[in-house]
Amino acid sequence: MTGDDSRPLDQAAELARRETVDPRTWDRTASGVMARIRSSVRPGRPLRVSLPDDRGSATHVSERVAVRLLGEALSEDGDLAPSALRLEVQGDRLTVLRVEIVGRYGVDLQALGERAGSAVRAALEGLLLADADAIDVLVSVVDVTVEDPRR
Amino acid sequence: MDLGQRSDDALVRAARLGDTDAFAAVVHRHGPGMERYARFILGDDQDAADATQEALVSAWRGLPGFRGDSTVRTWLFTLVSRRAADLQRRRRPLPVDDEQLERRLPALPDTALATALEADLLAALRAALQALPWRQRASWLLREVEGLRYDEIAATLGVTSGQVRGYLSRGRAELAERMQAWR
Repeated sequence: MTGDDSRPLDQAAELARRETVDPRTWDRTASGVMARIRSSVRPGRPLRVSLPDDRGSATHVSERVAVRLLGEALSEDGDLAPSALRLEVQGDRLTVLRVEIVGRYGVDLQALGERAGSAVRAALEGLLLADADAIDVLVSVVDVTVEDPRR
Repeated sequence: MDLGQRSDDALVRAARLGDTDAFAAVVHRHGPGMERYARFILGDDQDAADATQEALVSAWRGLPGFRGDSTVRTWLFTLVSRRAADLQRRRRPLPVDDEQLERRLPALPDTALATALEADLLAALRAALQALPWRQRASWLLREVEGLRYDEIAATLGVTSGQVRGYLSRGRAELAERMQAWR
């Protein structure tokens, strides 16, 4: 294949790189994706907030709400970002919370893990989850990044 | 913080915690490129839209298992490649019309002529691509149009970098040959 032979192909490749999907067509695709995703989001398991009262009624918070609030609590620390939150539930009681975080490069990772654990504990107490102090909180630093892990 | 300014990794971490807005930012950042790739590789706009949509929905479902071994972009192109390959397998192969590869010179003013020539050249490329074996076609598109590295293409197609070099070499030669009429 000589340079001349490949010239039409090079020109066609350049045109292909400049090709864009029609915005209206793309909007239909994107809307379809997000509609399917939003309709698939489930509230998650109910977590007991308080012990049953005299009449046996109890208050619950959904797992989805708990994860969002815990994630927000962790994101207040500029040296880390939550990567995953895994909840182990027995019945309607949260028993174990596994927290995976990404830390900023150069920060003492042990101290970072302890800060993350404290933030999570405070958030669990803020949620008034039943027996919050009995929940095992296990923090793992799964990655480090030079940039702000939240960005 | 504006979601559009956040890195792919940060958006995926947020999406993994259930943040659908963060995932929407990923969709709008990478989806148009995925759909363009799917259009060229499948040669059909509706199939391309379907493959892109299925790939992005499967990405959402697969977030808990995505550990960042590849970049988010490579992961998404892997998913859309798989969906496109599934669609291709279900389709009857279409014969390539040789006339689509031939140069046509319509009688038009200069600027309109240039535009028409570009449209014809692109149409010829689409036709020539459809005649290539799947992996040659995918490798050429991922390298020459989407700008992926050899190792990223290898990860996307589940082959080795050496195989990608072979696919690219044969694909380029075949495409150049088929488009010689445009020389």
